[in-house]
Parts: sequence; C-alpha cells; structure tokens
Amino acid sequence: MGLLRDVYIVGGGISHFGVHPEKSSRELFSDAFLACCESVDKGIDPKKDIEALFFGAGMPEVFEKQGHIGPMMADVAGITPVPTVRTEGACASGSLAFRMGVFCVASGASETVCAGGAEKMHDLTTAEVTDALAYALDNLLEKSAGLTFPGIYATMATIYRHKYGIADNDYRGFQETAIKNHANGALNDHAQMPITVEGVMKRAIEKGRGNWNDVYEYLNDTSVNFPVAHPMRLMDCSLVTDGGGACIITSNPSKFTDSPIRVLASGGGSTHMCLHQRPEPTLGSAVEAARQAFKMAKKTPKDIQVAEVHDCFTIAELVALEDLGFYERGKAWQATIDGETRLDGSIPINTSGGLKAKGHPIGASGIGQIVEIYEQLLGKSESRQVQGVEIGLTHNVGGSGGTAVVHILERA
Amino acid sequence: MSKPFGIKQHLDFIDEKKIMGAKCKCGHIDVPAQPICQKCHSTDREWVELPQKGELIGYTSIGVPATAFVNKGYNLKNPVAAGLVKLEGTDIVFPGRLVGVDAKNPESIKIGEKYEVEWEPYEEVKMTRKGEVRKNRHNICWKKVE
Repeated sequence: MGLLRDVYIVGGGISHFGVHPEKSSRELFSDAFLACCESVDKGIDPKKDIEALFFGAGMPEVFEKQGHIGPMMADVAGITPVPTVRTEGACASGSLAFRMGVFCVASGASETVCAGGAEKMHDLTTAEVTDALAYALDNLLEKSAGLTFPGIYATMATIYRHKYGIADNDYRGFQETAIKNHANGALNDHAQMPITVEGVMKRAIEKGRGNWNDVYEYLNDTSVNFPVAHPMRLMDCSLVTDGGGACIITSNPSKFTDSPIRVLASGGGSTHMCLHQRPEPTLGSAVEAARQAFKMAKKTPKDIQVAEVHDCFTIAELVALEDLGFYERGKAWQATIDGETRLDGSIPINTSGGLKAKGHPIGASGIGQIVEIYEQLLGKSESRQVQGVEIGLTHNVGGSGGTAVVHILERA
Repeated sequence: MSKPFGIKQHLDFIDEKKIMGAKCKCGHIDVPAQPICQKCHSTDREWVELPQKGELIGYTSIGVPATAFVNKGYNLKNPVAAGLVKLEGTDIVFPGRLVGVDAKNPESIKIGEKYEVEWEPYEEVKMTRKGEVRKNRHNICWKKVE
C-alpha cells in the first residue's frame, strides 16, 4: 500500500468563507484559484502547468440547480481543455477531489494538477438547506422519522454521553469544543465567524437579548443558544457557508517552490449510511481511513502535531479525536475540557476555527482543511501559528459518516 | 416463490404493518432487505418478521426540522422527537418519530426505556410520467410504553 511516487502540495488558497450574495460558486472558486496561484513561490502558468482538474461539489444541483460542474470550473480557472472530474461524497467531496488528484499525480498520469471545491449554500432558506443536506442521509429510512443532519449527530451525542457515563445535563465537552474553535476562528480573517463565543455573547448583550455573567451562562440559556436538535444547540452547529478552495498537487515541486509540503498518505473509508445500522459513537469509515493513512505514512497518532478534523457538530469533533486514535474511547470529552486541543495544547485541533467558526461550504471544506495544514506546516498561519510543526493531518467526513477521508502531510 | 429482497418490498411490508428482514442462512438479518447478505455475501435468504417493540438507545428533539415536518407544525416551540429503538431480542435498530414523550423537555427522555410501534398512516403523492399516483402508506413511530 502506498503512492507510486512522491507527491507534493506547492500552492493552496481559499476564498473568504461566509455569506456572499453577490457571488455564485464560480466566483467563489475563482477567488480561491487566484489565492492558490498567488501562493506558489516561483509562480505558476495555469494554462501550461495544470494538466487536470479534480473538483469537489456536494450538491450544486440542489443549491444552484447546476450539475456538470467540472468543465464549468475549468473555464473559471481558464484551464480548458484539461480533463475534469467532479467528486461527490457529501461534505467530504473536497477531500475526495484532493485524494483523486494525489492518485492521478502518483500514478504518473499527470505531473501537476489542481484539486478544488466550492459550494454556494446561501441562496436557499434554512429549511431548504436542511432539506438539501438531508439528501446525504438515507432518504427512505431516516428522513421519514423526522431526522435531519443535526438530528442524526444529536442522536450520536446522546449515545456518546450515555455510553461514557456523562450526565444528560452535562454539556461541557460540547461547549468547550465550540469555545475553542471560535477562539481559533477569531484569529482567521477568512472565517465566516471570526469572533469568540464571548464576543457572540457581548454582541447579544448589546442587542438587548439578555444579560449573562459568563459564556457558560450564555451557552446554557436555551432562549438564545436554542436546541437545533437536542443536545446540539445553535453554538454546537457548523455554519451554512458560501466558499471555495484550491490547491496545486505535483510530482515536480522544485519547479514551483523550495519549500513543498509532501503528501505522506491518503486514506479512505465507508460505513453504513444510516446511524441506526451502526448505533455507536464512532464512524467506521473514519477508523478505516485513519488505519490506511497511518499505515501508508508509517506514522502513529502520536506523530501528528496539528490536525483539522470534521467538526460539523461539536460531537463530531469528539468522535473524530477518538476515531483517529488521538484519544481512547470516551476520553476526548475530558481532554477537550482540559484544553488539550487548544492552540497551546498538546494536540491543537482545528486551528482554522474548523467548520464551526471558519464555515462549512460542503464541497470546499475538505480543501479548506488541506490549505490550513499546508499553511501551518509552512509557518504561514500568522497569529494562529502552532510553532515548529512538521507533520499534520486532515479528517473529512461525508454525510453522517458514510464517507471519510484522512490525509497526512509533512514538511518536505 | 418469495418476494424479491429489496427496499420496495421492505416498504410494502411496513404498509402492511410488519417489520420484515432478510435472514441469511449464516444467521445475519439485513433490514431493510437486500439481495446480498452484508455479512457473508450469500443470496440464500428468507423473510423473517421482527418484533415491534424494544428499548431506546439514542434520541434527539429537533427544533429546526426539515420542510416536511415544518409543514406538519413542528418548530422551535414545538420540536419533533426522534429516536433509535433496538428491537427486542435482536441487534436490529430502527429509527422513528417518538410519540408519548415530552419533546419540549428532552432531558426527560431516557435511554433504556421501552417503546412499541405506532403505525402512522399517510398518503404518498408522486408525479410520474403517467400522471399523479397516490398510495396509502405507513411510517413507523415509537410510542413510549407506560
């Protein structure tokens, strides 16, 4: 198991993640592609250098009534007539594009390719977005029960608390995850919510919505932090986001930079679509993707110094930390409360702010994770830089866990 | 000859108020039924009827529902509870809307409590190339056993 030849990232960029009424997914990808090309140290001539485009898009058919998005995005980047492939794995679509790009270069089929992704989610109402995301659930079995995406993860959260003896009225592990990711997001000018939870609370006080002594009092007040799907409250949920991402993958890094980032491993996995067919607080897909990735990289979880994990809901981050082997089963809860995953902790998680604060444009989220780790390993993360990191990991999940993709990157 | 093992047959049985699974000769039961055993890949299977009661293993109470449930009157002030029930004497779990619980006070819902099926009738309306097709169907709801 392994890549047939060494593969590197030599450029990466994202658009601003947020609410962009003036932009479609085309302009969101355009912003990301420009930022990506700009980041290439020795420059890149897209028309000459890029031989293929792998593009992640979750459900543009629903969000924008637009399919066949591969060639459209090649036009946006000005790189036709390169071949394109659109990848779809719900919220893991972007990581799948990256994975296919890595394999294309590793196989020798191409020397240099672009992996990108975009999603334009804000043209629909909240109920319509909920409906759209629910396409990634089992249409016949889960939706008829009233389950939504937040509902599935919320159910997983009740199973987690019950299994590990955490009280029904204990929300600390969830709350500290949100507090941490917002603290990181506050340092990221590409984030949709570059604001701490304390900042969110102060804004609510200024608007006369109430008065709270501290963030915990605020988070426990369900009149403001309402249950989207109990026990996942508003501040436990990732965001509805417009955004794009792009990166350049090559087997010839010296052409583009003297400081490339090597792709050590790409792991993938699947599991049952429905939570009720695997009613445990773990995603078998992520366990398998991590197993493959660590084996391919010849590394262990202890070697990872920084990671972006799929925090579509706060419970998802806790489960991810255990599926990846950073913590034993049931231990991510207390470790998070103890601050071990903060920027200054033993294993900084979601330094970008994660899907929670940076945002979650589902087709671009996986590329966004790759770009964050790429920048961390190059020391380009400014005020949220983790010092001296040389090896990092990304973990991206589609649906309620049906698809998972794990990548391990290293400073070459 | 037995019915083909597939999702349409699974839903047809639900309309007959039965939860049926495809039992393989290896002992594994697939619910919903499918032609290939997920455990051993055999296609040698038979229909078995499953119990309509069990215990709650996970739940939620949804304040921001999908459109279909918003249209039924569910919202933040009237959340819809849903849960997973493990069928008695099996490892098979089935999702459903929870009935007879206080969805506004979700901390009152407890894992391990007993539930039984309540069949919820509804009319399915589909537009096809041959025009509108209406069918009486059922959803599984889980009613708390007092």
